[in-house]
Amino acid sequence: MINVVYMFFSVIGFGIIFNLPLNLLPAAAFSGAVGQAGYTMMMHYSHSPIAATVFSSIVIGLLGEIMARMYKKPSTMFVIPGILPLVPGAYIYQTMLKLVQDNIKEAVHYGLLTAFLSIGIAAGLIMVTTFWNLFFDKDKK
Amino acid sequence: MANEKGLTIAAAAAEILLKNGAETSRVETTADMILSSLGYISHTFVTPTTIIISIEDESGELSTAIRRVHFRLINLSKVDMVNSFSRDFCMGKIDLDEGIKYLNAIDRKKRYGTIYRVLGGCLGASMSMLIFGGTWADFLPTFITVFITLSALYNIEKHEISVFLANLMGSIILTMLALSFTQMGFGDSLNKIVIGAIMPLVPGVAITNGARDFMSGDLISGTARTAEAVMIAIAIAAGVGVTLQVWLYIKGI
Repeated sequence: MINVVYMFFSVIGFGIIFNLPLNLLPAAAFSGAVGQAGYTMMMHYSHSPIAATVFSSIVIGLLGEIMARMYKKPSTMFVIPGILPLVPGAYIYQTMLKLVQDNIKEAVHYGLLTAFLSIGIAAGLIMVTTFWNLFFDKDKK
Repeated sequence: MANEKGLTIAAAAAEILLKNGAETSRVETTADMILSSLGYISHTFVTPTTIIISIEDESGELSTAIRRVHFRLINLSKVDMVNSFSRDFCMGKIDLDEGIKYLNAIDRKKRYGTIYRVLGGCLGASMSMLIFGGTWADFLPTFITVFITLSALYNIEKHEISVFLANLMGSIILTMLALSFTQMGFGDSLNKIVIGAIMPLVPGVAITNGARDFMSGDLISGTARTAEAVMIAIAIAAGVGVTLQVWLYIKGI
């Protein structure tokens, strides 16, 4: 669970790269950390990185929408730094490593996993945005 | 004349949004909201590189503005500022002449200094490395690797070279650094260092914005952004892969 703390600081770091205003950094980092907690939990029960990623991107998307309401800011501000550590950089690297080692079977395995994880992140976020807009967005102009 | 002022404001707002990494539907909605608050019927078409806005006033006269966007980066502060600007503008708190000045001021705002962004990247990367199961022994090597890579990249970035090339160079630099550190016995695992170090480069935002565009029906933007993301991912993978391959080759002799 120490990962949650790592995630908090990781999101702060990426928030600075994306020029997130300083007063929003803790909120974005908090949503990232909760997302990571969700990831760890889901990983424990399902042992599937794809399920865990989808679940945690749903959590981050949901928190992003809630915080967007609280701070009256676009939800992107909280979601983009939050999901960055979920992006499968590790699998991109593994894919390449296996290709270099002439291990095509493993390379294809990791390559597909990378693709599915990316789609998983996007799918999670979109599910949240769509349903949020369906249920709560009636009073918006 | 009045037509043109309103159009200029909408186009400027849309351009700032698009240049700073907002998703396509947000850019279109903002421009439409600004124009409809001025009483125009508007049609906007936005792709990651172009903005086309056409308006029609009461007398049926048509005016069009086109903006071309060459370089996009991610600056969430500006997205937020334009967002609150458009909200104020639509409620009539800001008039046309002030609006143009206001938007120009937003456009000129500076980002965090390079050193802060580099350090932010180092923090983000090292912490992600720990999440991926790295040890504290790898912390310092990752931090230094990312520091050097990002310092180089952000200085190159000022000359507006293509994203593809920048990422290729970045990943070559970081792999070489990681290789030399692990060879010197500084740091445990080459894999973890490289995985952490590529985190600030991976196109997470492009992937998610691309998928969001698809879902909101902006098919052209979705395709373009996804293609960009794939290109960047290939650039990174190629940089890492080629460097590792050359390394194995040299070591083999």
